[in-house]
Amino acid sequence: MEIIRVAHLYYDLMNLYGENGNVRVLVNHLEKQNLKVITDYLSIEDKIDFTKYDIFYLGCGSNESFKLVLENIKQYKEAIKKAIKDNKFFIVTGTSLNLFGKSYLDLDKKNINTLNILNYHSEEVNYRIVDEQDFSFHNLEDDVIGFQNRNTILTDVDELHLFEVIKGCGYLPDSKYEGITKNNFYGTYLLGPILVRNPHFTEYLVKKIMESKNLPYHEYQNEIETKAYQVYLNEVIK
Amino acid sequence: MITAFQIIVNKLITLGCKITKRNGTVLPGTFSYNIRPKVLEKIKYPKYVIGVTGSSGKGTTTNLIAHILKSNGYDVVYNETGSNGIRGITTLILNNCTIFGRFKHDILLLEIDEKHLHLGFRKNKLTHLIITNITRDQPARNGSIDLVYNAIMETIDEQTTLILNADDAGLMKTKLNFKGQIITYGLEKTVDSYTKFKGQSIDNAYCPKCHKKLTYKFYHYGHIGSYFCKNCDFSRGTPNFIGTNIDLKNKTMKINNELVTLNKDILYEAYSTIAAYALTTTIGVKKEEITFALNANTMKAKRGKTYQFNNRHITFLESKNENALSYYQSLKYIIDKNEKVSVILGFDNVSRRYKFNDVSWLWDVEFELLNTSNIDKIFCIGRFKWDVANRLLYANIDAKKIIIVEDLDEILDLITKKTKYDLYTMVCFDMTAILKQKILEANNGNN
Repeated sequence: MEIIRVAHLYYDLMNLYGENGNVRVLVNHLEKQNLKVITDYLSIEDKIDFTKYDIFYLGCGSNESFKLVLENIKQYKEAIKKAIKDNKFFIVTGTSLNLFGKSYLDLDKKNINTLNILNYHSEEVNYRIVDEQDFSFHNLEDDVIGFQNRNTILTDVDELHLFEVIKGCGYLPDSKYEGITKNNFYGTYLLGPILVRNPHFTEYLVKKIMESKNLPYHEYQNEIETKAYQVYLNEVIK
Repeated sequence: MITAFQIIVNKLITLGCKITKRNGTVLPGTFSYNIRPKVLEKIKYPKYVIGVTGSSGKGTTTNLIAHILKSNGYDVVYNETGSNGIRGITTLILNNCTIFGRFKHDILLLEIDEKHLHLGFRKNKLTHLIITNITRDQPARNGSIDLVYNAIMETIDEQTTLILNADDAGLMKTKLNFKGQIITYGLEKTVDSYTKFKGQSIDNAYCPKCHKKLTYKFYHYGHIGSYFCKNCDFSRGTPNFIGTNIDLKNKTMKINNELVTLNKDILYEAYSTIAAYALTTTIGVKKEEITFALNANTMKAKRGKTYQFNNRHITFLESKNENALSYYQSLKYIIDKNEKVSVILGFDNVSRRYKFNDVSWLWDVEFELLNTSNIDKIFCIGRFKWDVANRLLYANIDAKKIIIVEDLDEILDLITKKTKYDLYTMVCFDMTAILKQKILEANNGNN
């Protein structure tokens, strides 16, 4: 049986809104492909080997947790850069997106160095962006839904966007684009269990993962997740 | 002059509400607060102005304190309706003032919403503030627990004596830089305590002083427990008030070796009781007066009104959405009964405070507790029944036990057909009213 390794990074710091659901759902969907999935939960007291895993997940955290993680993750800058270049999967939700850009400008106008792997800047703002979100994803017919609750924006983005905004908020409140993608890096300000809530998006990721391993993809059903998605899209968002 | 006018208007609107039989807890204060929020700064407050805040347990704690004080003849006014926002509080304060703005009673006791504290008490300081805990609660409104903590701390300074739950590491970081007096309380191990973290998401996992991972001697729930840092001197330590010999079955515990009675058989009653004990001791109530009042406490428990339906008992446990701790208490209550039962779960709206319907928090609730042979069926109702059902499947609950109720009008029929056991509901506010109505109608129809 083919083995796939998942690392839930900083699981005990970046876990503000039920983010654990993303890893559990991803593992479940991969297991339906007859893969053996090994998941490691790693944090600042571990030595993280980025060559060992196929998929990395990083969730949303509070501003204080973000600072702790930023200090710690900097030691892995080159390893992460290489992992993204080598087409490893990164699924990044919520404030973790702010780790990967060039810099982070806080409210006191202090510029903090971030990983500087992807081309954008993060900026803290004195208001919060809180709302339900409805995005389109170019590879899928159905919308991607989710929730945002943040006080940072992205500026000077020079990377491919992940989503187009139908309803909600992009990099900036009036921006049409949201999220960052590069190779197999998928980053978004959507937070919480977005892979639970968007079974078709998860399916897309699973297909890509199978493709990257040169393995056949098996169709499978997600009836309940799909129903939940449809109710939310049609009754709550639309 | 304006203050006198506002006080008179507040009293008149309250009277108007009484005459027209409207709820007058918030409306008068809304009017007063909106025209001049500063009115609260003009009041001559009594010697004790006590606040109780936190993510959960503040209402119970406030009621217990009021009970102890009143039983012992203290002249206390408190927001017994549970209206804990700034407008309800304004109504209460102005209605209890003379027209010259002097508060007429000896003690003002307030349950205060953690995000409303700064609206009323930034300038005039509370003399005492209890913080029960800060856990994940209404993230769309509160952001994160750090933001709630900061909002509370910005309001107070060393003029306020803090009474803190020491079992919450996130609160005990206050010790690092607060200059005023801090009094702490905490609970020792119970039969339900555990040593290995078992939830899905932990907060405050790291030492606030040196940022190394905290070590826990035991957990009560979530990040609440007894912890210490292996790297520095940060720890829960021994709280000033310590609850031991906690016997929920017989509803007793010892506080600093004094035996007291608990009003309910759940752990959070023990927390509320010890918080009330700590506060009342601090303001000079004698321990025999406190224990006398606690032991004679026959306050009606809010939790668990039971209805009869078709030879089954249906007990209503209300669970607050977006608050994993509130759900945990209901879940624990159900499984601790150790009887074969069925459960009704669900909601139509996430919140009654705001329009957002974020369902992320379902993944922070420990639904895994329902994965036991004592649970017969789980009925999922409301608009988000599919999200709830999906979460239950990920808790490894057998799909055969999960019944998705597509048409709420059929719920009672489904109950009759699918389960013969007693039921517990742990639905949110919006579903409670509907279910009660359906049961009453069905029962009346049968008579």
